[in-house]
Formats: sequence, structure tokens, C-alpha cells
Amino acid sequence: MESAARRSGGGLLEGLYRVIMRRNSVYVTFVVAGAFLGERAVDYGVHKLWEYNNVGKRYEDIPVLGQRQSEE
Amino acid sequence: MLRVATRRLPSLVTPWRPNHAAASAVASRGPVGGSDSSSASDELRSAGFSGSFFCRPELNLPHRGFASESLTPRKEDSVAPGVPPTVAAVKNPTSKITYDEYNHERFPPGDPSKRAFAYFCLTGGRFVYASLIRLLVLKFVLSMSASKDVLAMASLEVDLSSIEPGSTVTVKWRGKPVFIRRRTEEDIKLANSVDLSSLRDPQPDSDRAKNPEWLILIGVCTHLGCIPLPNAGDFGGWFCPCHGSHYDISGRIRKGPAPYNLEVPTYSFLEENKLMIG
Repeated sequence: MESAARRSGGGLLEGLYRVIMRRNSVYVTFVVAGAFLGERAVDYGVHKLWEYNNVGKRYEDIPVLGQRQSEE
Repeated sequence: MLRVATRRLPSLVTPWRPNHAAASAVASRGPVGGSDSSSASDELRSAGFSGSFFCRPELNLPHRGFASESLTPRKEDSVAPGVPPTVAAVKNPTSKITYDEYNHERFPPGDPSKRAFAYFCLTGGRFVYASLIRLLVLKFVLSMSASKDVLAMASLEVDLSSIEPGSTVTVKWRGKPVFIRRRTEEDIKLANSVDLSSLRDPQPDSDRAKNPEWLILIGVCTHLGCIPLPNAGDFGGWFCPCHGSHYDISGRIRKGPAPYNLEVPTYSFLEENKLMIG
């Protein structure tokens, strides 16, 4: 069971290897695309974490925002 | 020489013990003396033998054991006596190769290679490197672009309520003068009555002013960058004193060396009497 799962995982990696890493141009494209997507994903995750840790502290959360202007 | 050898011998006996192959090589040859590279150590050992046999009988016991053990050659080592290990290894190729597995454990023989896994691990690292390189390049390149203080000065708000009809106000915008003229009805009529085909840079007045009452021009002569004088010249507009270019009430070139009309900046009317240039 365990070895079968490992073999299937290795088979998946082998298949991806055959698709992606046969040509260096394809591989470089994959690296660039993966870097871009990974950057987006990490950005999104860290932003979510930030929002979660700072609920109600952001500039948009100020309740009296935009009320000073009417006074003058 | 002899005494040194005898004194050194007991300490040397114990490390020799597990080395059956080397011990057998030495012991089987005895005091004949080595013919190969290890002749010096062989001499030392033979000297030690003779010394222990004749002078120090209490050392005989370990040597006897040592000698009798070495006299039975071990088959599994399959090393011929006196053959250096490299030569023995070259002459006896075997399929049971043992590697140093101190910090790199071997996979069982017959396992498929983990090449794809290693490559994908490297790919993950390359994602990070590519992101870092992109980040650094963008940081450095964008640090050379316009900064916030420059961008804050890029647009200008002008209050138009204090400008009389027929007068021209000059404001400074991006280091250049900008003429804001509130035109009268006669000015607008005059600007629209011009035959376009007679102009060097034909442009109708409606293209140059969003609101015909307000004409906004960049006050830089298109000839050599001088500042034209308002309310001067033959056409009631601007006159460049440097080389005598005459601009009409719509800022179009009419006379003189300038090739184009006065430039109109991008502007927009915000609300009542507010003008945003830029």
C-alpha cells in the first residue's frame, strides 16, 4: 500500500518530468510561470494573514473617515 | 633501534589484531624483509620479533597468538598476501560494492531513481530565485523613476473665479509657464473666423479649447522654447520676443519661424471654477 502510493507519486513526478523537463525552453517557461504564480499565492496568503491579525486597524476601517471635509 | 622497537611493540600489537590481512602478510613473510613499499615497517616488525623472542620473553604470548592466527588465511577476504588493496580491488571485481553510507544512505538495489523528485525540488528553489531576481530588478529600476514628491507636483489646481474676461493668468506647472486666458465673445469669434487652410499648423479652435471661454496653453514657444508675451503681436494673442513668432487668440502660429501652434496641456474642469492641469 505504502509502496504503491509512493510509486504512484513517483509516477506523477515522472510524468510531469517527461512533460516539463524535456526541453530547457519549456522548463524555463515553467519556472517563470511558477515563480509568478507562487509570488501571487504567497502575496495573497500573507495579505490574508495580515488582515486577520489587524482587523479594524486599517485606514479604511476608520469610522469618521471623510467627515472632516463638511465642516469647512 | 632494537630497544625502541621493543618498547613500541606492545602498544602496536592491539591495533594489529583486527588487521588479519596485513598481519598475515607480515607474519608469513617473517623476517625476510619486504620487497615492496612497506619494507621499512616490515624491518621494524621483524626487528621487534627478534627482540621480543630473545630479550623480552613476557611478550611471546601475544606474538604467538598473533602468528598462529595469521597463519590461517581467511578465504572471505580473498586478498592475496602482500598485494596492495588497490591492486586487489582492481583484480577482483565484485558485484557486492559497499559504499560509505555514513550520511548518505543507499536505496535498496533495484529501486527506481528519484531523479524527477530531485529536479522538482530544484525547480522550487528556482521559483524563489526567479522571484527574488524580479523583485531586485524592479526595486532598482523603479527607484530611478519619479518619486512621490515629484508626482505630487505633477498636477496643478487653479481657481478660475478670480480671472476677469479678457485677461491672461500665467501659472507655473511642471517648471513651465501655463497661460490661462478667459476669452471674451469677440476673442472666440475672432478665433473661429480664421481660414484653416491659411494656417501653418491647421487646427480648429474647438480642438484647442474644451470650453471656448477658457484657453489653456503651455507658454513655451514651439520655435526655440522662449516665453511668448501675452496681449501682444499682430493677431491679438501672443508674441514671442526671441525671433518674432506671432500667435493668435487661439494660440496658433500665424507669423514667424515657429513650426507648430502653442501646445495645449491635458486639463479638466473639476467643478465650479476649478481647473486641474495635468
